[in-house]
Amino acid sequence: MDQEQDIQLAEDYIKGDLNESEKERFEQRLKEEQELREILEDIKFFQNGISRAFKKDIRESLAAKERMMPVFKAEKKTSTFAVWGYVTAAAVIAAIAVVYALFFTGPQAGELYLAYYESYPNLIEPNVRGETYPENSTGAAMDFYDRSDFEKALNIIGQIPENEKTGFLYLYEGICYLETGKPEKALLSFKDAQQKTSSLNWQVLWYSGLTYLKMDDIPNAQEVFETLSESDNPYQSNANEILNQL
Amino acid sequence: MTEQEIFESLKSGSIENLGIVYERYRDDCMNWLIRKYSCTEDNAREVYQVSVITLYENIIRNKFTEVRSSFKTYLFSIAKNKCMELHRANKRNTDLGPLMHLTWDDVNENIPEEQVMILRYCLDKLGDPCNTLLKKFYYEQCNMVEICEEMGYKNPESARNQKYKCLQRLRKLYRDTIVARTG
Repeated sequence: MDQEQDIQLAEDYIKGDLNESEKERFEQRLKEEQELREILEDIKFFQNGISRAFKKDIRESLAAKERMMPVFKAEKKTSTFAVWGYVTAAAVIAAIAVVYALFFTGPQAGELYLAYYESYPNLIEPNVRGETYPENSTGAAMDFYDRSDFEKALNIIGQIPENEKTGFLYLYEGICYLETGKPEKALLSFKDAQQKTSSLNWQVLWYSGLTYLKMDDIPNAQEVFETLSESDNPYQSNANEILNQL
Repeated sequence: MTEQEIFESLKSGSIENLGIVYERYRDDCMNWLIRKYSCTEDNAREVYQVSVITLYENIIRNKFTEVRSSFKTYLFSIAKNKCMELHRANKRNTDLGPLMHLTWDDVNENIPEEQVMILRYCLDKLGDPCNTLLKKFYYEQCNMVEICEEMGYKNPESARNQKYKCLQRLRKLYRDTIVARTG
């Protein structure tokens, strides 16, 4: 065999692309042929070395970028005292809101829910025309979700093992529960979504707030929308509008 | 520049716009790592840099094939895993500096830094098309069909043959450089 073929074989062996009999034959040759052993070692070295050399370029370019950027300043951690301060403030605001709600008639919570609720768009498995998805897969569930068949979507999500569920999937599960009139279960799914993927924090808060509205639980809704109104996030202005109407 | 535009440019192998991604999410991600995972500022920076590179590698290696949610969501999930990896490594062995454990490299072979530098020099000296071809095959992990399409070879067999020649040239150049250095 010529060297070019041996190099190809060595690369396939490293990648795990040889079938069982090819692998056995290659390993047998490795025991017998010093030259093949050298080729294998050489390929491993160049494969890894070339990768590292190019990776080094990227590291250096990021390090250069870092040097050109403003110095990073860590956010100050909020003290426990401050957290309790916020909680107390939120509770006081919620209490005032309840009293206010008793004396002034605004739109009912359910009406607000209907005015602001929109299902969260499918970002994880965009529907491709004509595509068929394996049974009980996220793709199949999201296909039903896109077609507003929330019962069927829930049924499939329920069969996906817990350890395979992502934060996004829990969020969609919660929305399916909302759509099918099971707000208590929706809240549990939103909680799971937040635990799995903390970057869904704003979405979880928004839909939890709406769920409380649907359940006519004004104090909890108020508290959630207060949190949303305090930070810069995509739901801030809607949260403020709802708070003004509660 | 939209995320989709950045994604397309990174997918072509260019790192020109990786800096935009790095700048866009650095403060949020580092603060998040410090707050949520008790990273020191230095560790958070290191984790963040590794995560941006992993994001790039996953794009060029077709592991991250479309911007379904956002770079931010994906990047944060990589950073979280890297941070966990760092904490686990620290628990296993506290004698070594924590950053020693972070997987900058997804390879097991421990090639001394000096040899990597020499290889880098040889790749530069080799020039194109060999430099790009070897990068595409060994680093970006493109197959011969992709290389053939991207680099304009007649067919995958021609690309494979060219890759063999380039590798042989690199091996020779590397050996000559080592010999010249050791005198």
